[in-house]
This record gives sequence, C-alpha cells and structure tokens, in this order.
Amino acid sequence: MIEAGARFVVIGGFSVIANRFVRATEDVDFLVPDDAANDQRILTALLKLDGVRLRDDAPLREEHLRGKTHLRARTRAGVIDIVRGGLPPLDYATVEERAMRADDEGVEFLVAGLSSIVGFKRLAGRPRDRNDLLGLEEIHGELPVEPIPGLDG
Amino acid sequence: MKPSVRTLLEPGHDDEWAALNAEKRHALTPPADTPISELLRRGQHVSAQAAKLLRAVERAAGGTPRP
Repeated sequence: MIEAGARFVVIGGFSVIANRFVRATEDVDFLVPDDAANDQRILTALLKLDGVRLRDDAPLREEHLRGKTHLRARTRAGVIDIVRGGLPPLDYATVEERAMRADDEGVEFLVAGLSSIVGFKRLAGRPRDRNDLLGLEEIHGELPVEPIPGLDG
Repeated sequence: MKPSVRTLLEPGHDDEWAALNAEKRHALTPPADTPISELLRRGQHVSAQAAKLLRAVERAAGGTPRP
C-alpha cells in the first residue's frame, strides 16, 4: 500500500494493538478516503499481493472498490478489509488527522488514534468491541468519547 | 438519520455488518482438524506482527499514543 502511494489509516484489531491492548487479530483493516485515484493505488497494491475478492475469489477489478463502501480481499498477506471513511468524527480526514505515526524501519504509515478507535468500537458494538474498550480503558484510563451522529442523538 | 450509501461507518447498517462479520469468521476460523503445528504457526505469526507494529509505533512516537 505504501509502495503504491495509497493513503490509508490502519484501523481494527491492529490499531487496538498499536494502542497497547495486545490481543489476537488475523486480518488487517484499512480506512480509506473517498478518492478514485487512491482506490486505484489500493487496487494496485492488493493485486501485487495476488489479491482476490474474498466473497467469490474473483480477481480484483476497479469496480470492486470504485463507489463501494467496503472491499474484502484475500491476499498473500492475509485477509484485508478496505473500509470507506464514515461521518465525522469517523470520516477519513478526521481519523487521519488524529492518527499515530508508525515507523517500520523507515517505512512510515498511520494507525488510528485512541479517540477514533473508541468511535469505531462504540459504533460496532460487538462483544469483542466492548471488550476492546474495557481493555483500552484499563490501560489509558477514561476513554475519549465523542458523539456519533445517529448513535448519540 | 438516513444511512448513506457511501459508508458503512454510521448507524443503520447492522445487517450488512452482521453478514460481513460472519464472512470474516468463516474465512479466518481454521477447520477443526487443523494440526496443532499449523495453529501454533499462525499464532506465532500474529504475535510477530503485533510486536512489529508496537515497535513501529514506539519508534515513531516515543511510545506515547496520541489521544
């Protein structure tokens, strides 16, 4: 993704781990902006990883991502979820602005910050998400909670 | 609030997320007869990725997550 010049922020389980609540996760979730040129870069990266659409093993094509809210690919690097940014504060620009930097031996990328993760987890509301929030609270103390349109009125 | 067709990250997409979560569980859950050695290999791979990510965040930000 980085080589292809794609903009993305790591969200999901790996962002929870990056925020110091270490638990198992096997897939990688990327939040991406609503940007056709960026979509093309993402597809290029996924194709380099021999990506196919997980649903039907179809070779990835532009229309699998263009105008879509979500794409799940099976790649040599595992299952990768591409998720389109939501409404503020879970829109791409806000999540990107609040993200943490990670530096993997000179290769920099962004990982969702705590306030964004809390928003994603509150919205999803699965048992695992509630457990993540409890774990993050143990580590960080009171979590930053922001209103989410439609969820908090 | 009327859900948007441009994002699933808003209330009102419970059915879509339920289907996506089920698909993910199916894709990631190893078959019951998966050898222990393979389960261990997967576990070690996940642990190694987590450790690599933590080191990468530590290196970039001095280990202090932003709020």
